[in-house]
Amino acid sequence: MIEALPDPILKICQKTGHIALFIWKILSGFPRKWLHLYECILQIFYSGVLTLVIILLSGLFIGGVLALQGAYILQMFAAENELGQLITLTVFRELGPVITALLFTGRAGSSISSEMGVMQLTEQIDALKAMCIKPSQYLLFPRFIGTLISLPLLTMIFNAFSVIGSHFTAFYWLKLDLGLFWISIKNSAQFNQDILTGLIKSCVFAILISIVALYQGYFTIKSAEGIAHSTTKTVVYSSVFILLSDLILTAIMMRFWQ
Amino acid sequence: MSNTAISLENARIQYDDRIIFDRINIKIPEKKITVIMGPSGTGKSSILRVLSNQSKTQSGELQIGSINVQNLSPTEQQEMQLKMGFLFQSSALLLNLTVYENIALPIRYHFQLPEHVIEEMVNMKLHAVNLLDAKNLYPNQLSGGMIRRAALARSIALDPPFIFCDEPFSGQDPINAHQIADLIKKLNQQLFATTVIVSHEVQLSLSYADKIILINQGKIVTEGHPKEICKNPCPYTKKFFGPENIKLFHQGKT
Repeated sequence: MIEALPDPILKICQKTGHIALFIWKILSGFPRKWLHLYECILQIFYSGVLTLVIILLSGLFIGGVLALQGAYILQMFAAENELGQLITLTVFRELGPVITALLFTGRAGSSISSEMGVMQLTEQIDALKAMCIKPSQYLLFPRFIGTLISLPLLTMIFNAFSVIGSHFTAFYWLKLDLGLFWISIKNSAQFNQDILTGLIKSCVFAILISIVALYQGYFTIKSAEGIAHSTTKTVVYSSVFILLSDLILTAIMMRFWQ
Repeated sequence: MSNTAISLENARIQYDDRIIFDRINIKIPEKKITVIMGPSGTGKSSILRVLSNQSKTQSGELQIGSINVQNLSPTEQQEMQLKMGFLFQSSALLLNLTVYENIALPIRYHFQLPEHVIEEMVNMKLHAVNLLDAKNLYPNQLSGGMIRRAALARSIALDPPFIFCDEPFSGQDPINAHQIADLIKKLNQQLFATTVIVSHEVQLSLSYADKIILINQGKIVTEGHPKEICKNPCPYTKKFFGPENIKLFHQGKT
């Protein structure tokens, strides 16, 4: 009966099963020793701390741009005092999680994928297996958990720096009343509806990015071209998945949460 | 004649639809150096991976000592795997770790030992391969010969009774190749290990091997002590080893 199915459907089923088994493989690497935990902490450093600079700068600049554009629109309706609310809702709910995830894919996702690819190419993963060191424990799970912990934290940092960026633009450039700016933020930002939804989104994005990056790297074609291809695929697929899942999550949250 | 340490019987090795070996039988003598030779692409590395229990055969039996590997549970398989030291053709050192950390990794991973004991163990291995001075260097800071020696040190990190080397002399200049061959011989004698090497290097193989297995087109062409190999009248054997190398071996100059 299964053989009667058309080839494309069979291939999709095969690929889905392959990815599902790979996800199980990642999760089976849950730390059982201090040594494994150390690897996880190391990966939080590589994925999170080393992506910090680009997140800080992007947060500042995007916050500044949003303040300029937002003030221009709001002034038409004599509502520039609501700039804080505009910034908070835009950044906390949407821009923060999405832009952080896209930047993270470019910086850490591609790095994870190419690192895995090089390890396959140079037989380092085979060497780990030969030493009875499970790649799932030593390589896959630490990178997965590193991403899952780093990305929501980076999102919060991005949010904070966007607000700081918009604060500076509002005060030094637009000469707006800072008291009204901050009161507007304080009155509009709600933890459950704005901050938590953004954090949930960034957790989902982290899972998607890490699975795509690890899968593409682990099953790379063992050549320089193969690694380049895997890295490109990681960035492209992750970006598409981030935007698609953002649409789905937003629709669900708007319907059931708010 | 010494006992058989590893025996592969009636094995079929195939990748997808391509059969590499069909019903091949190999016996590896205990505590000796066995060199598997043959032309490129003949499946020497595949055999080495099967003998070291890293990949499975489609049929046949792999016996290590008196144990049939196919009958082992996953835990027992892992215990068996820990007895196998493997030197990869590309050395396969972890590039983000220093030489010291590379050798310490399997020890840390499998045994909970105090750090000073691990340090002592690693230093012993580094001393054995004459790399103590390079212990804090990363693989990309080492020469080709040093990388191979560091990888050899890692392969013996757990003092395995079996050592497998995939093309240990490839890409090495004659002096380095001799150094590595000397090291393998020394480790084989000091650890009382059974060593299996895959190599193209005819002269070194003739001088260091206790047994040579020559394979071609999925079959064993000839096997035995280098003296027996050199006396073998088989035209392919003579062609592979080269009349000059055979002559040098008879003169004791290899």
